Amino acid sequence: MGKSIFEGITDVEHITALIQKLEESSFNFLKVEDQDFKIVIGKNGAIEINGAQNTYGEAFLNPNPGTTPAPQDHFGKVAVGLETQNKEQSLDSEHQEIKKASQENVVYVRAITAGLFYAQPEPGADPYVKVGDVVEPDTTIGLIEIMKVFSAISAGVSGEITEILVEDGQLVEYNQPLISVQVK
Amino acid sequence: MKISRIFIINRGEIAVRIIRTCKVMGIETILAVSEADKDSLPAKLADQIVLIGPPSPSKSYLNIPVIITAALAMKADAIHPGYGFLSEVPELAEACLANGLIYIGPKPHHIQKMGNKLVSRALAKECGIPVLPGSEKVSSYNEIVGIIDAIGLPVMLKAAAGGGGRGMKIITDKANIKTIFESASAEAKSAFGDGTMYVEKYIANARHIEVQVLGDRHGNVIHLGERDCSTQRRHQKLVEEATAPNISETLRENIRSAAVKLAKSISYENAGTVEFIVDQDEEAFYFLEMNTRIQVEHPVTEAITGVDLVQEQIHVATGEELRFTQSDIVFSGHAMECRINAESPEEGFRPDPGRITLWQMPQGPGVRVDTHCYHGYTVPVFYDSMIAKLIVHGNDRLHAINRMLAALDEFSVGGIKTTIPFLKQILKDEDFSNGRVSTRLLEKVLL
Repeated sequence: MGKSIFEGITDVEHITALIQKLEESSFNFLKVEDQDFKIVIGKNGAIEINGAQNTYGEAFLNPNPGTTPAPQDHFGKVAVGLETQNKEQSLDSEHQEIKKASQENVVYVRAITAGLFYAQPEPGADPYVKVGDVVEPDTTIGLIEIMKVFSAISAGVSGEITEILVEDGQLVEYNQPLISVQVK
Repeated sequence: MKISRIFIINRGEIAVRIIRTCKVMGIETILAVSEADKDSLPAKLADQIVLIGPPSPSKSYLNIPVIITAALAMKADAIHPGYGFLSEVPELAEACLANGLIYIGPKPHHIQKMGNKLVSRALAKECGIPVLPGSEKVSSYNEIVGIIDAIGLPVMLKAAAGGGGRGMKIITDKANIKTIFESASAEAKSAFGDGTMYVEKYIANARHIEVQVLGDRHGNVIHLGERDCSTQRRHQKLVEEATAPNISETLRENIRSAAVKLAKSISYENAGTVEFIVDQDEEAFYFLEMNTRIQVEHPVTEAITGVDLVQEQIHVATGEELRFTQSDIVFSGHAMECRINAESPEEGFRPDPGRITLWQMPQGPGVRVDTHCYHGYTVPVFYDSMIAKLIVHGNDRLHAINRMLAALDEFSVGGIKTTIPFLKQILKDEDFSNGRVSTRLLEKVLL
């Protein structure tokens, strides 16, 4: 086994420098893992950016550190093990939105399935929610229809709606952000 | 009926394949992707994509309600199912019909009939096509003993709802029949939703020969020649070729005619493949099953006929007559295909997904590669391990083998293990080069 990548890293000074590096970068999340040590740092409450992607992306993080050199920062020892979090992904604009969201304690309520989004319970009725409304976790914010089967979408969090990102009758994709909520 | 926009509900190389022909035909493409495929090559090539679900197939590529909803919302005219996934699920074809979408494939009843092995066997028998000695549905292991007494060992215990090499167990002696039957039935129930089993004679030195057919709405059916897919490992095809080597012209013609006869008897529409088991020792052939979709190995047929099968699928789906009569189909040269998988042959063919760090595909006269992979692509864990199909065309079989060996040599892949070295071994095998192929050939190569 080679040297631990955390050698020399374990004092507060180095960890502070790591945090500062992250702060200066446009990344929101840093995870460094070794056989007996793990550091996870998120900016402004961001823990994972895209849960599903991380799950399978991590499966490909090189199991043999040292065979495929990971990018090195100026310490010369720290590896950023986020091969899937590259900036050229097609959801780049969503990335920007998420960055903005996480900086202001704003979360997205996302589509649990692809389908047709409806903003109101039935045609002609008032929409479930509008910008400025205060919601609780079980507040219905809209419906998604798949072949006449309707699923209610709950806010999942408490807070104030800051943006409604989709239109009534629009086809939404799986995991697409529907509304943004400023959480308390 | 015009088709100007197709919703493609598949992934990987076949999605790329379908998009390519659509581009040639000036048809807009919308690709359904799971989250794992949203940055894939077909996603980059399609005109639009719709993210229909998470990586799990049941929540994405197999999700009929979401697929239909998305197709309608995107104003697609037609849906192309590719192969695998929903391509042999009649409910999808039915849902298309019910919602005014054109299904690029046969009618639901074609899929239903040929999807049940017992029904398709009966239909073949009605056409006077030989079927393997066997049984109807068996409900107990005692019945199997009786059948073995009648037709002799070895036999294959098969799932009526199975297919594609799955749901089958060989029985070589009468011991343990009860256990084998009970576990096979339970597996079939779980995998296919139907635990019905039946028994068929197992032919040891068999050739797997299948015929490409194409039918239209107006009762026309033609064949585009046969393919030999005997080179298999655990009932999964590895090397396919067109036309079948080392069979008499009489047998060849009989097999082709039988396929057309079967397809015509059910007024089959669109592309399909009728599969046969050929007993080389007896010069006899037996109906095995019919696949009501485009097949993985369709490129070898395209190579020797010059026909774009996906184009003809789309053409037939618009309601037009076939563009060819049987005499228009001319066969030229010999073609072969190797399926390349991200697997480690030295480790029991363990799948080896991961990031491709080197990808150099062969090219040149008579060389074609159908793939969705590229340098820097990460092969996902969620789907099958096939990463490319390498197809060669030569003036004759020997020329095709030489081209294939040269192309396999040129194909460089880094970052993941592949079956390329193993395929080279197969191509160099003496029996293979002499056209002495059989479903048992790989047992010898693997030793």
